[in-house]
Amino acid sequence: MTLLLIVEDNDMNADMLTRRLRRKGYDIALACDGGEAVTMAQECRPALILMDLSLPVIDGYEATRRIKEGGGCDAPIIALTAHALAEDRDKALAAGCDDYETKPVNFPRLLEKIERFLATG
Amino acid sequence: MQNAQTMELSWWRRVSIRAKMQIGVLGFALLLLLICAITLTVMANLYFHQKMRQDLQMLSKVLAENSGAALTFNDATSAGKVLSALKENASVEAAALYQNGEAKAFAEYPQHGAAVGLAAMAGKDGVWLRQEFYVTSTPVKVNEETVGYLVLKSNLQEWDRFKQKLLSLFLVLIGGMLALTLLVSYWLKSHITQPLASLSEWAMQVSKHKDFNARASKRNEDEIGHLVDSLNVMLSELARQETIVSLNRELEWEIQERKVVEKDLIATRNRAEEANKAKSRFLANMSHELRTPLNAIIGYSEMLQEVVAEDDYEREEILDDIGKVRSAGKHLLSLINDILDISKIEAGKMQISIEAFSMEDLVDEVAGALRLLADERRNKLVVRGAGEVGVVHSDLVKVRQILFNLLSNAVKFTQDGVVELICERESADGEDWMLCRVRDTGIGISASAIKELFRPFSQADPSTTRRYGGTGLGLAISRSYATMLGGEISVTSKEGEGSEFCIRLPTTAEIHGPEERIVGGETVASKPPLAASDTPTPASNAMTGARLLLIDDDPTVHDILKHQLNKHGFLVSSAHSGAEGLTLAKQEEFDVIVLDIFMPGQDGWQVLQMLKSDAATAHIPVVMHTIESNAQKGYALGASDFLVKPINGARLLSILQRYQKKDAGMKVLYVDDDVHSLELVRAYMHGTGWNLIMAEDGREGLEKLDQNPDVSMILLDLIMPEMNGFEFLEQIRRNEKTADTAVIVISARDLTQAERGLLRQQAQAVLRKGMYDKSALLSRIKEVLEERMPVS
Repeated sequence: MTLLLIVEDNDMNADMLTRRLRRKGYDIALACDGGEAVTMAQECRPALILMDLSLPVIDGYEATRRIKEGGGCDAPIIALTAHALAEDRDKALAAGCDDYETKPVNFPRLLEKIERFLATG
Repeated sequence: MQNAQTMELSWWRRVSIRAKMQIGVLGFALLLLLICAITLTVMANLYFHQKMRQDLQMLSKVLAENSGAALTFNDATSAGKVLSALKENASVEAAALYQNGEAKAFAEYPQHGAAVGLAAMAGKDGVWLRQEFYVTSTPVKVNEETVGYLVLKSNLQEWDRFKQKLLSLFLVLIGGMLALTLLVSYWLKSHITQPLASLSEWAMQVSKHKDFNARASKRNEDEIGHLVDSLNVMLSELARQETIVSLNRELEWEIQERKVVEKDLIATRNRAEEANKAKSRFLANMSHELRTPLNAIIGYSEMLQEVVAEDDYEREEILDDIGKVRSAGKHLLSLINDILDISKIEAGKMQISIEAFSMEDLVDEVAGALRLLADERRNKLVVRGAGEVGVVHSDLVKVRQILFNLLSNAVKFTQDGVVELICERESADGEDWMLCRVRDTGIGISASAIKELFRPFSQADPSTTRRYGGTGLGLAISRSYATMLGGEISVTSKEGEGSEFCIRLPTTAEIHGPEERIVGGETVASKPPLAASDTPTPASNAMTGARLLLIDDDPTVHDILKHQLNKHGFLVSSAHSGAEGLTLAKQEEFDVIVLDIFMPGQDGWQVLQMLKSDAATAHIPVVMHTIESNAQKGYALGASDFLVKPINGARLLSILQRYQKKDAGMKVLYVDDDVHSLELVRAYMHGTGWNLIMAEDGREGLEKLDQNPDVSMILLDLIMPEMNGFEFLEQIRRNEKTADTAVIVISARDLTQAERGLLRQQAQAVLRKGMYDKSALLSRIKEVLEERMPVS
């Protein structure tokens, strides 16, 4: 099964997304902060990462940067954030995210993006 | 010396022109006259004396020749005759004829002895001036031989007479001169000094009144006329200058003013830009904060749709998820409430309602609400000193919110620690203050974060909202409330060691802003739900026969509550297990059920589900009563309210008051054009036993009112087609039958001051659409009814 890493510090949102993606047949690993995300990205080797940006310890931008620069994990990263301004999107892409989705999540579109990334990856 | 000169000069300068001219003319004339007189006198004098000598010598010679024979012949008589010819000459006083060498006069004139003193002159030839006389001596010759001397003495009377005549002449001339001077002076006065004086007077007036538009009148075309012209020209020039100067002054002033305005404008612009940036930041944050719970709500709902559609679910799991949706919704609502509070505060529209309340009760209530959370985080919650503060006059709702915010923050940001709330009363500056310190041993706040602490959405760490919950607006609101109540909130903290927030409020707050008049209404609606459902209203009036079923396995709870509730007029029936409770609920009519959760056998949740699934009992409101605050689950299962143990009598009462059922069958008219709102209220009213009549605009409302004259309560939307809420109100207030019917306005509209004023007079309460839940609406309706029909 394909493993996705969800980085999300809000329990409810993490639970919701995890369960919805599991129902779609994905295996899910969950990280609750940026530091954990960096470690897990290297250890679990997920096929794709869904990254919240406002995170404790290390925020999502920094975590993305470290994952992309640290090597050992070339999984595409989709930023998943409630920061919905255009500049937030630019900032996320600048940090190294491969794509960007806002909360509340448009689930079909997110699924489509995940599938597309996995297909091309 | 110089001073004296100046003095003299200034004296002369002070003399009027007229006097100067008079003095000048007169002086000049007199000087001329004097010169003439002196010259004339001197000339006359010289001429007179010369003539006098010549005349005297000639006379003397003639007489000497005529007297020769008499001397020769020694004929004294004929000599006397010769001398008597002198009678013709009045100026000759005396004459004597001496024989040569004789001292005795041979003949004398006018009589004998008249020539005394003349003998000395005999023997000489010539004329001499002796004092006031001329004396002449002439030899008398006969044939070239001197035979004697003739001496004459002549006085100066003629000269004296002449002198007198001269003097008279001069006096006449001086008199004439004076008269002439007067004439000249008069002429000068009328032609020169008068115009000059009036010109000078006019100039003085002009300079005194600074009236540069005055013009001197011109009488002649002479120098004064030119002077007048020049002065007028000068004045118009001055007037022009003055205009320019005043224009300049005005310009300068305007420039100064403009500079000030510009400075103000720049400052305002900077402030506006700053405010704009802050607003943008606030909006971005708000968007983020709102999206987070929305994400959960939408996500779970979609998931629920899926699982229900696919019929792939377990009941418990689904209930749990619905509870999460509700919880996220509640969080969203509290966010919106906080945002509204903030915007109300910023717009200066937050109202304050002052009442007397006991700080001890309030602190107990707030601490009670947070005890569970504190226990969860293994914090020791210590409260002291509130009893000594006693009763204070302030805004209960706001003080509670402040305390709740600070205390819940302290509990949230502390784990395995101690959270203290210490209250005291102090007197300072002639005022009574209460101090509440909220101290914790939690994570603390960094110095840089403290500065931003009271700003909206500025939790110390951006991620804290997710980790610790909260809207990030609590502190900003708390500080604003404290300021509105005349106090302040200060904070000291050390990272890693803990924080201390100190609230300092006057024990008697004064209202500075608009006083709250539409009591409750918006305040109830804008309160965060947690606080709203915990509202303790002092049980002022006794309940009359409300029937209450208490389901709890603990006999002591029955003892305590029965005692308290009986006192307040409740008829309490007891059930000691879920099964007993269910049986009783079906057998008898109850106005409210108080249900414990942890019971042996059927637990509270199961009992609640069964009560709600049975048509006979579904309408009875159930108040959950527990040590575990799982409000979400309770509400999801249909509970009406939540009470956390230990039971606070006042709180229980205030909640139970809402469920008094002495209004069964009461007719409520709801006038609103929005079908969703109508449906929502109909759902809320389900189980109340009330009869809801609905109308979709004002006109229909009036018709329904006509058909049902016994409507006791009208719920009214404001914006409607056909006839809007204001027109409807006006109509029913005009009608005698409906003039007193209670009206609660439910509107999403932002009311203007005027509209508020109008509603204050014509409606009993105002609720904001979408800002009330079932219990808020129902309790508001009951409150209004109770106010209008006081329990006797």
